[in-house]
Amino acid sequence: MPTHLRRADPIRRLLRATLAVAGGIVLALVTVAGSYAYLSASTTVPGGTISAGSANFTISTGSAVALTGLYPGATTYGSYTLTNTGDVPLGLSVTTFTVTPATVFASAVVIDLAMHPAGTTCASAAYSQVSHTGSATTGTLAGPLPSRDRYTPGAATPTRTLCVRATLPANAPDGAKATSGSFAVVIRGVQS
Amino acid sequence: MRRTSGDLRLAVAAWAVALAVLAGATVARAAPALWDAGTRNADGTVSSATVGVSLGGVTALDTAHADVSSTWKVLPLTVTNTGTAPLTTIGLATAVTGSSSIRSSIGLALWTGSPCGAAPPAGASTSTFAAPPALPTVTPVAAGASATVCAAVRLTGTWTSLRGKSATATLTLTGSVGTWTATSTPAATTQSTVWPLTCTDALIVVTNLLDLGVTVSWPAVTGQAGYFVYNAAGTRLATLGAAATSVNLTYQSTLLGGTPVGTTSSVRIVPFEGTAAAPLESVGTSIPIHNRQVLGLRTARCTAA
Repeated sequence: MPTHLRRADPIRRLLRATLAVAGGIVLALVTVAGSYAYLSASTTVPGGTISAGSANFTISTGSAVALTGLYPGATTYGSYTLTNTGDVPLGLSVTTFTVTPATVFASAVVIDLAMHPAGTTCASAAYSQVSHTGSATTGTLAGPLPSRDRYTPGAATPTRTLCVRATLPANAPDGAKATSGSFAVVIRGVQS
Repeated sequence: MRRTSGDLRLAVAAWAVALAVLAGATVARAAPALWDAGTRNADGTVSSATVGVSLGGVTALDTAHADVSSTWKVLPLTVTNTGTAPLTTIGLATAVTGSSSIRSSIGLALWTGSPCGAAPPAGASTSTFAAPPALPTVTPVAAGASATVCAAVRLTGTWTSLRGKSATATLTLTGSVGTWTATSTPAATTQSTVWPLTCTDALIVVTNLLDLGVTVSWPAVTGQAGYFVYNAAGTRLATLGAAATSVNLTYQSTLLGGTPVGTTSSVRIVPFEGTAAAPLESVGTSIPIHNRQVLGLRTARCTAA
């Protein structure tokens, strides 16, 4: 078939149509804009400053948490206060959780963490978030840790109670008695 | 215009680039940059409790019986949780040594109650040294707390066959919580019968002009295999047969050898059952011996000075 008898290329036809429509829209806008004449006024808004917020939080205790007197079947509790001192809500996660030194007691003790509303009584709180047994840590902290209300003057800085519970199983071996150790939990906060 | 395969490849490449740009933009929107507040530490200490138990008052049960009697000697024993964990189970182990023939005559009763009263109540765990009774239930005992167990002893039977004999019961508690256990320091009580020795100065008994001493004699003990003679340091000086009822203690026989002049020592005569190689010893009786020198002669007297 001769070239001049072929149907026009579809892409070219689409391009032509698009250009036609765009031209029409531009013509219409130009025409409309030129069809009115409003009064106008302007003023200058005084300049201000802007600054970025922050992401920050603290973990505090009145004194070092000491979970003492554990024996087979016994549980003891402690708590920390989590405070969001930044401007964004934070999701918290446990990055490392260690109990030292490595002893029969350290292997037997179970330490649980749970974040609850401020003022929660840890002895009656639920513990289904983070658990450490032996050298294994499982679970995640419930969240988020809310940020302060920046639009209400005098609004309190939000806090949460981080409850810690230590338990010795009823079958804890005899070698676990009269032993002490330390635990260290590293918690990361990321905007949520 | 003729479309070539080169045009097709160009079109495909253009679409691939467009899709890649679109996908990149989508991913960027799904994972926006989030602020990281860093890490904070929540540290503390954790420690386990101690387990301990003690038994007090046992030695106060010691009795030198002057005769048989139906009357009980009653005293409180104190079970103390010396640990920082509660005790949920406390058991008693009793080991008995000494004369075997007297054990069944020494009554022993254990019970709980306050005050203990003058005699074991009905229901008390009552037996003898031959088969010591079990400890009544006193648990749980909180950390640092104590519980009272009443104990009573008495001697029954025929006095003449019991004289000179004794038996000692050593009581040891085992306290536990879960799989943790602790034992008390063993505490012993000795039940003996009065066995009077007679000591005679040997100044008139010249066995050797330079070797004078004392003579100790005793009433025979029924059913004994023999007697041991010990010095104050617990060293066995002599072994006597079942028929012996006295021993002469002199310097040159070495029974008193090594004791400085002017000092007081003692000897102890101990009846034993069984054999000399595997004896069941009673506690026996001690007498003081004073060593002295008179006119150049060394001698001794049955006295403390």
